Amino acid sequence: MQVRGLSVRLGGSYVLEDVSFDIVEGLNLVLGPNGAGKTTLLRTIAGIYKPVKGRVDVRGEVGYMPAEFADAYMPVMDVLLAGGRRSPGRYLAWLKAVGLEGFENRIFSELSTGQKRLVLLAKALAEGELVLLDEPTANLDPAHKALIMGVLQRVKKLKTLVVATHDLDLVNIADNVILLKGGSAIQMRPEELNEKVLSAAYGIPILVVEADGRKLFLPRYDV
Amino acid sequence: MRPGTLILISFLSIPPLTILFLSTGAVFVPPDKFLASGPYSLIVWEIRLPAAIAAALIGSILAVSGAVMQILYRNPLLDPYIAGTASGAAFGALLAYLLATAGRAYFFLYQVPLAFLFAAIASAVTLAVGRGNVYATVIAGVAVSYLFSAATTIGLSYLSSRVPQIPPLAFWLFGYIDYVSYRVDAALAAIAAALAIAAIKEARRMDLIAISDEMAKVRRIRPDGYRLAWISAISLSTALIVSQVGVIGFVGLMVPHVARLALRNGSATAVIPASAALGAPVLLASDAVARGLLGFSAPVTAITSIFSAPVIVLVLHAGKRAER
Repeated sequence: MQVRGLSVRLGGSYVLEDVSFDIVEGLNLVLGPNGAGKTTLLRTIAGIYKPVKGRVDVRGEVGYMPAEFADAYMPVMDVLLAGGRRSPGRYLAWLKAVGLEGFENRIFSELSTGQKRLVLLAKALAEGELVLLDEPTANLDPAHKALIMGVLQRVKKLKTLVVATHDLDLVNIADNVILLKGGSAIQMRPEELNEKVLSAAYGIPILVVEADGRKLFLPRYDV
Repeated sequence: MRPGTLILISFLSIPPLTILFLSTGAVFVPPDKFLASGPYSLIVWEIRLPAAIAAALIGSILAVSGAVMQILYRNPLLDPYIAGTASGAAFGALLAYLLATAGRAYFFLYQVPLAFLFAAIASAVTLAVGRGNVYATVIAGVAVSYLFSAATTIGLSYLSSRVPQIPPLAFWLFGYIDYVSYRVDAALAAIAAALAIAAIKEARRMDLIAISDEMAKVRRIRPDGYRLAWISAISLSTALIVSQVGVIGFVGLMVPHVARLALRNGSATAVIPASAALGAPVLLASDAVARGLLGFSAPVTAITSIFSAPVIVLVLHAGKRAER
């Protein structure tokens, strides 16, 4: 699957210009500063926005988990079935896969933020071969973040994931990185994402430290 | 409670409420006299039964309309009354009398279209000014309602001297289900059935829009166009109701909340069928009280308001609790 020469214009100005990259099997991470066009890119891949130029080649159905959603007062099962696309059994299997077996009769609005995200993740996984996730780990405590990351690491073997995020910790489980800045994109392998590239992308020094077999990203706040 | 139980309770309560309704009014008719010949049979079968049928159908239509508006706009305080839809329809319906006095015939041909036009304008203004904010929408709805109610009052003041047969102000502002023909019942039945069937069929899609516009767009649903289509259908239904029985408030607001609380489930799949069923006995009972159980007749919105005030307080209280 790939994106070629993609240009997207919103409200008169270009948000993405001539963006090209490959979507690999596994977890594709879309990084970039605020306003770089991460959400726009996800929405364009999902078919919400029509590009003025270029094309998006994806195979199969697309599942989508938005960054924000309403606190719907309804059982988890009704959230999963909303839109009426797949059989209940398929949704329940994915609910189990994200670790929420037995949650189908719980009220969605009464779950924690992390659990709500997991429910919408299960829905997206049940509905698409390509699954687009917008900020899946934002505003979570460390335990819930670890839970979501654990699920992403497991399911990336079964589905192709495209994750837009500010959370650099996700680089550790990524297979491909797309760095957006000023409307254009650079594709690289996760291990190529060093201090120089990150600091240039975000405009502040970001230290990369190896510890415990993984990378820690430390932005400097005193510049 | 399961949706099926609530629907069954609603249906079972309709026959006794209908008997109560048929005996109630300016003249008390005991149930054993329903089949007697003479003036009683005229009152029961030609005046009260069509009114009872209308009350039940209107209750169902308003409840489904309120449920759909609340779900699609994620606003627990919406219904055709709060959104100004009904006040707009009343003004449009009144305007038809004005055209009739100006010598345009076939008044009945353009009363509903005019009511629809102003119902749609009123709803659109409210929802545009509210811009998706719960409280801004309610405040806009109050302003729009007052504006059209004032215009209706002024219009009626002018018209009542020229058209003596025009219904009184209380009808236009608070509703009277008094003289309804079986033909109007048939039209209301068609609308009630169409609205309930369409809403039940669309319930899963409505739930998706209630969760996220973005997720709906991925599924090729255009949320804004979808909402507009439903507001148009609701405005049309409200236009027919208001041109026949005046403005009936709060049923559409209250019934979906009662359903939501009883079922402990706010999904369209649960709330819409339950509201369609529960709206009928609620307005039937309210109108039985309004038409004479108190010993005199009062506009029906006066009664539904009394039932609804505690529900609104409960919703606001629950909302506050959820924010904590």
